[in-house]
Amino acid sequence: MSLSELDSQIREVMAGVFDVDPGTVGDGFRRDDASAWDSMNHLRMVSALEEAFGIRFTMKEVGEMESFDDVRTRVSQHLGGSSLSPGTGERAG
Amino acid sequence: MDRPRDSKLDTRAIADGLGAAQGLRAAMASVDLEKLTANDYGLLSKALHARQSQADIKIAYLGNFTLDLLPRYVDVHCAREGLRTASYIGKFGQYVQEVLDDASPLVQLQPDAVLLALSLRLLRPDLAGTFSSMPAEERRNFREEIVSHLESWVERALEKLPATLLIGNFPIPMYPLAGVADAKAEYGEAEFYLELNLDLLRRLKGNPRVRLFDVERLASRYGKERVLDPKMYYLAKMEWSPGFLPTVAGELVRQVKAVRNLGKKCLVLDLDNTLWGGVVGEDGPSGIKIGTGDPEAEAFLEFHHKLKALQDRGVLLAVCSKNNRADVVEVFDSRPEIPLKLADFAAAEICWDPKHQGLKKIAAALNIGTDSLVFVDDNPAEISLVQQMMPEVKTVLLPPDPAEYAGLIERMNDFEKLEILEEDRRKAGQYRENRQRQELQASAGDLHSYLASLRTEVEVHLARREDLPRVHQLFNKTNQFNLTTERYSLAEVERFATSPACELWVARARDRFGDLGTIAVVLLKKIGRLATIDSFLMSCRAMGRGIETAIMNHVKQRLVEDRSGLELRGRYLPTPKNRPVERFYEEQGFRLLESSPSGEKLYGLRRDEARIEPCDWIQVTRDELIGAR
Repeated sequence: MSLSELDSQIREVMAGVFDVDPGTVGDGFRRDDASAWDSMNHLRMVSALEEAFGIRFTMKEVGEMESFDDVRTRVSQHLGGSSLSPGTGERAG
Repeated sequence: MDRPRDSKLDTRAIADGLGAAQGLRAAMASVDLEKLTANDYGLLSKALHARQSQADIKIAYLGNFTLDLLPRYVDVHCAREGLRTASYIGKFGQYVQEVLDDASPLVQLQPDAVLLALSLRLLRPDLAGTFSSMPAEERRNFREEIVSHLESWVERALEKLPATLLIGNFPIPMYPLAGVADAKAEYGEAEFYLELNLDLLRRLKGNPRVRLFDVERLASRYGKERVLDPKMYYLAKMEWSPGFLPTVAGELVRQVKAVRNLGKKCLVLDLDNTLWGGVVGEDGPSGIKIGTGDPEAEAFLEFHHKLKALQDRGVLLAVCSKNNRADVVEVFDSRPEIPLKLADFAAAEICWDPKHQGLKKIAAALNIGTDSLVFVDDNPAEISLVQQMMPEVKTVLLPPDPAEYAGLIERMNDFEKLEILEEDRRKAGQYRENRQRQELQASAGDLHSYLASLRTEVEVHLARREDLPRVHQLFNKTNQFNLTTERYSLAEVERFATSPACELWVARARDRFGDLGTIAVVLLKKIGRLATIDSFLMSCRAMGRGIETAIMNHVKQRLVEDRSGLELRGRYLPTPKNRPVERFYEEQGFRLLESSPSGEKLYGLRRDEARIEPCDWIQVTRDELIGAR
């Protein structure tokens, strides 16, 4: 998976969960930018990302994802740094 | 962890299409529920709510853990069945208060279905934490306390809500606290949970409006290892992981379909490579595979057993196959090991005509609508033809491997019923009896001597408690002989049976060939001196032999005997299906009072006009004791 593919998949999930235009989700997109980003939808996002990438976040990580950049960093870490292929990445679970 | 999921479906396109689409079911037809991701569910559910149309079913979700994510899954599963939903999520842990308070949003909503799901550890955190050191006696008390708590909640909810109540049971923990030694303990954890769930099952059985929601079974089906996502539990008190929710939603839809009587009536099957392996025209009656000793043959045997179980719950089986009839007859005659006999099929179209024509003939022969059929075939071309010619027929394309056939029947949700009633169990036999009647009719000289030779007896009585599930079933699935097609819930039916302003009459019929069971319902609503026949409906199995006249005579008799000077009113509301009874009230001697441009008609009958119509071939018995109320 290329970096831009990763971005677009995250964008699709976040736009779907927070009910915003996918075009607005990108660098700099933060919790304050989406009125629907409440605690329940936060967990929906977590769950949808876990499903989409086959990864598992820790509770601590869940509390630390406050923006698109945070999410991308965490997802990349789980997928194993630069080798961004979902099948072979490091798994926390 | 699961494989990463990426639905190949363009959910956004479907979601956008939903905004404009007229038919919900058609718009959702391409959605494969097995393949949806959490994000797909979110998008679809949002699009469904944007349609802003009136809901077909109102569902309330109550419990002591977080259920907020569940409704969107249920919405999508319901939409797949053509049902629009409205949801209410109870305030966290306030299921008791909400049901007690008449002003609560729950009571105000008057939902059609309520799910109550409780987590044991959240219900009694103190006790749940000390379970391992709890003496046997205390464990028993704990069990009784939980069941009584649920029972008293159910009692209150039944008083306040018209809903069908779905009460969740408790999944058995994956690993017992005492390890494998639990099985040797005096009242071990396994024993505690099994008895808790068994007790609940038994104590909720009595009232048709209360149903066990078998969370334990669903958790096993989905895989208990994945039911709980511990992180989601600690973060948000979610006992059910998002991944488990489609399974829960699927089961809720089964219950909803049963509550609404949306079940199909008849399963139509192909023969070659469907009911047996191979092609009879090529392999011959002895060459086709079914029976023991061969893996494929055993798969077909198991498939038959599952079909037989469907028949036992009241589903009619039929055959639609392109074959020489003589070959097929030979198969059934020469292979006694085949569980289903040709006579088990209520109708059989075995010829070389296109299958959509066969299906039409089957529906006509069984006197049911083509929208009550489910058609199963192994040939994609036949399935596709039927889909094009008869979109109202539900089609099922068999998977390539017969090993999967039996499981496919198990997973179908098209035949769900609230209860299997006497009438359901006897249904296949009743259709056989009907064929005998038709043969008699063909041999009888004239209609009157045929009707007389049937020796029909009709018993009319006011509905008793034990009649109500069947009355509810008749209200909801009778289409043709139904003057007003009012669909009433079980709670409403209960009210009609007990209200002094209503008379709810039921009729049973039997003849020389067998018992037809409870076949008709008449609901009278009295206001002052007017008694309006709100509903008059009869099962299609009983049509064409004057039973309706015998029942109407009973109603007229009631009018004649009444001292308060009652006057009857009758209503006819046209639907696409009830044309056969368009002139029913005229035929019964009623006066037309009003008719609207939409075809609705109102009729009247005064005491001095009531004339008993002759139908001397039917012997009517009345339940005088109750009838004198």
